[in-house]
Amino acid sequence: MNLDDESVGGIELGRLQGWMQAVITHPGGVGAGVASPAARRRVAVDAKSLETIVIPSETLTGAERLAIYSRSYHARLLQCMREMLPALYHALGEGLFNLFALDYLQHHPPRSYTLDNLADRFVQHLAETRPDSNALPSERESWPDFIVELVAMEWAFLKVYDGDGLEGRALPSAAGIRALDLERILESRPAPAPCLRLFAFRYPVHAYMLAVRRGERPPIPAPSETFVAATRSDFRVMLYELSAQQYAVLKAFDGQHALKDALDQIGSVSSPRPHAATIRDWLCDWASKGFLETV
Amino acid sequence: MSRFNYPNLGFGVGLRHQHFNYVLDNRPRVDWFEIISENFIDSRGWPRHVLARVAEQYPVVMHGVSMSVGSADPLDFGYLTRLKHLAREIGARWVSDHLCWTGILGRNTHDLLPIPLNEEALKHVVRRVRTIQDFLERPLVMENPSSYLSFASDTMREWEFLNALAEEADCGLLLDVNNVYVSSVNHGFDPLEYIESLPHERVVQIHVAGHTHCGTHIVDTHDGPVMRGVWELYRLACRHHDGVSTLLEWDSSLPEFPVLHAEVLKAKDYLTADSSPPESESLEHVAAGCSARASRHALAGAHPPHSSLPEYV
Repeated sequence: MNLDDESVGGIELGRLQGWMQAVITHPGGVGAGVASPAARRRVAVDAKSLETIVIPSETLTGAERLAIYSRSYHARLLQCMREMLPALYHALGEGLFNLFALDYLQHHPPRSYTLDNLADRFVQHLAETRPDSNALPSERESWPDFIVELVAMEWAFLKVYDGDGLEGRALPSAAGIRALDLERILESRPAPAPCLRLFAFRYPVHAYMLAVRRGERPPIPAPSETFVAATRSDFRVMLYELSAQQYAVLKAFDGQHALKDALDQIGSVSSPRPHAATIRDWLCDWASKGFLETV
Repeated sequence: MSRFNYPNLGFGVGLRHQHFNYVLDNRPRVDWFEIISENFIDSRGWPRHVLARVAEQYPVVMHGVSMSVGSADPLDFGYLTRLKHLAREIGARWVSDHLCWTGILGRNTHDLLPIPLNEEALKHVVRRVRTIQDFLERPLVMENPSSYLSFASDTMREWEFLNALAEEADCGLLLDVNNVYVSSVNHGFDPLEYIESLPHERVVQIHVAGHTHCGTHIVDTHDGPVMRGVWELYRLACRHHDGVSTLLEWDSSLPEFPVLHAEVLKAKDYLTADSSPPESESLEHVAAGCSARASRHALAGAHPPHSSLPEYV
């Protein structure tokens, strides 16, 4: 039901709303918004004739009344991103954070009915717009990695917090897994929990994020290869550091392939291959931490 | 019982994530809760779990901010499907949203934007409210928004628009007396005339909230106690009802739950006794929020509570 043909005081409702949206969301403010092609395509008024559309009040001009909406649009979304990404805000400081966030919002304005999806593409946007995005990986600076990884960590935390979890469901127990002989272990097909997220970072961004959330003011950490699992247990988000081998094994779990096939698959990149008894110990540990839906 | 057989629920407050643990642990003697629908409809974590537990113990009403009833974009039936599902799941007493649009061309500004107040817009909104009510299989309750601008194409006053909308779409009304107060200053109309002119038989619920005076205009900030002028409008509105569900909105600079609860219970005091709001509350709240207007209920509860900080091993 698109009512572009519906006329509202001489201007179609869709055109009027498209115009107002273009004006109040323009990063340069109302003046720049009114003059923008996106606004003028819909309603061709300039600053002088603006009040043929938006009338003044006793105290404010039409442009000043529009500016209330313009300021609040940007302030609201920036506030939301600050609250969702406190560690990034701490790392960048207000000026740089706002610069990055406004650039993102300009390229990816919100389209969801919920603000919970506001920064869904922020990691991708930061990765695509990093200043050395055209350079070879070996020639890139490392600080953009820290920024991208930090956002990935913070955003995953929020998604794990409010996404699918395993609360209220019967889960594999460590005791049950320990009772299995090694042959059965190798034939098992472990399925990761829907809330499990695995990360291979160049920086320990998880520790940095947690420090900020505790109210500390940590310095930017030195690079350090870090493997992290994020999951949820009894509605609490939990973060665990992993070894490179553990990360590779967990990454191979899909609930479809037998564990021995997963080990074969990672054998070429993870050497030496972990012993089956070690894997069983890991499975017991991971089951108790809520990494696994089934084994 | 009240309009559309919707009951008078008494005096309620918004369920905000900052108070989740307090509400679960203390079971406060609040009459009912209102939720921001969008903060729960996609949740599969702690917020949804808390809501399920609250809904077992209290009446819950769903108040939305993204229905965009006034937009020229097509209705979002994916959103409406989720809304309907949640309403059934928690036994929502009713579902409300605003007379506004939130975005067009697929975008959502997350603001409650004003629509032109004229016949053509009225026809458009009536048609959409009817469609939504048919889809949700329940009457929709429409709230008067606060607004900061008027269009040259307006041909009717907001209360005339609401009267016609309620009648033609056969929907309920959520009378936000704070919004009436805010808009009356911003647009220069008589708030008493607004209140008196509404179809009171259709008013299902009343909102009260705090606001911020910016010198040249007032902003609906929901960040403090209810002002005296708003309480007076509230008392006037309640003269037309045997009793109507009343809810306090407080979304920014949120106090501890007992403070919030005490604030809404003032409404009961003002109605049952012949008391007046204290003079200290007649001062308009003047704050730095004027330039931002960022802390409104569209943001409320969108983020996890500190109590859910991740543990790190």
